[in-house]
Amino acid sequence: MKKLVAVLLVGLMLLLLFINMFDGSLEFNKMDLADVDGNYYAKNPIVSNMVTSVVVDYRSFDTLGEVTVLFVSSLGVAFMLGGLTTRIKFKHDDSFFLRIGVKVLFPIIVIVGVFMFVHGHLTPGGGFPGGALIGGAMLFKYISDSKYRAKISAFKVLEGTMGSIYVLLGIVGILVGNYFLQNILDIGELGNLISGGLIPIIYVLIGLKVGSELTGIFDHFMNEEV
Amino acid sequence: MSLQLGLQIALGVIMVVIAIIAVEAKKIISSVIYLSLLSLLAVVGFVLMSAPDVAVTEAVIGSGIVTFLFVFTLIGVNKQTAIKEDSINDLDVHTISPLEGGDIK
Amino acid sequence: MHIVGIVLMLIGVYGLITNRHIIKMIVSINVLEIGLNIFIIAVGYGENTIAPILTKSNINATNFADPLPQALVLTAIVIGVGTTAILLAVARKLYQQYGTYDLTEMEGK
Repeated sequence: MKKLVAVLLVGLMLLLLFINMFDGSLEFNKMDLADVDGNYYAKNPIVSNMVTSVVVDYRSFDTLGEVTVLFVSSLGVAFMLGGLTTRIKFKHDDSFFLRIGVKVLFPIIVIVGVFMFVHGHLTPGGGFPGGALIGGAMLFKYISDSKYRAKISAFKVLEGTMGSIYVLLGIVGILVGNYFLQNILDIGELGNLISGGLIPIIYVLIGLKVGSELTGIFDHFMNEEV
Repeated sequence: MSLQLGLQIALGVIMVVIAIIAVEAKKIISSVIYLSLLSLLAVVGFVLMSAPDVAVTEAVIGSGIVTFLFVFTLIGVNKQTAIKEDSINDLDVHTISPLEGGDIK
Repeated sequence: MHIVGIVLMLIGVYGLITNRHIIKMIVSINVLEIGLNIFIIAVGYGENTIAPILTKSNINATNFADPLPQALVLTAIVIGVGTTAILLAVARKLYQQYGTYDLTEMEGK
């Protein structure tokens, strides 16, 4: 009965959508947001990756809020699962090949992550996937070795420092320039590694912060009740 | 550009089918794995829609980290079930791991 | 791809209504989120648009895809993993208390 009601409800919404789409009142393809100011971002380039210039320059304050949301969620996970202290025991023993393979792969994955957030203003990628890759490298260590514990307190210090530096950079923008998180440094030449002013610096901060936050969440999820 | 349009239509049909399987699957672990597969197909969709930044992020986070969180929620719970069975006998819980074909009630 | 995004969102809503298992409800929320991301990206994409990255060959092009929805989705994905983590933590806490993941069995206890 409940399934029938759900199917009817969802089908009704779909039907309304299709009717609107075919009589022309919903035309998503015509809704070109870039035409608000005629390819504004392409005409006034800050860095060559336009998505990065939106994330870290035009809407840097949003990104600060987003990083705060991730911080609050990692705090919430720590609050929910903080009482659990012992590691989950797998049913199988540690595999020798897995351990050696992870030892070889770990530095490569970390280097790829660092490359991603250092080059975030030139190539696809950036602070968020780079930080997530570093967190994933720590996750490999956890899976390969059943006794491994990361130094979570060091990661917490790293995370707090990076967040504080981000806010401090914003306040420096008020003091030196005009508004919060203003890009006060010289933008430089388009396409160089050292260009874009504050953008590479902030992306490195975001990458380290996201990586340490995700490592904290993983550590809590690997625990179980005694 | 008709090739790209055809690719998008085929991808869309596969994604809808996999989403229905993920929502309707009986076993929890297969539901989780189909969600991971849906995420991977979304990566292809993002690349076709010329959004490489979003594709990289979704590939790392959507199909890697989220799947880890789900699977380890199931594993941790399975261990707790086995412990609870010793103290409370009338719970009637499964002790087979969800990764080995069993399912969690 | 707009239609795919909307259909995925509706499948997510359907799963939220019909399922009584917490993990499957969280899976439904994730399906809904993927559909929403695809829809927002599709709004900024037109036919023949190219990726919004300036290189030497396309410095004068005018058919870039809109970078603004892509930036929004980039942050939305990361927020999504945060919300998923906290939902799963709540689910584990509920399991410790009730010994089940099923909402119907939970109400019976």
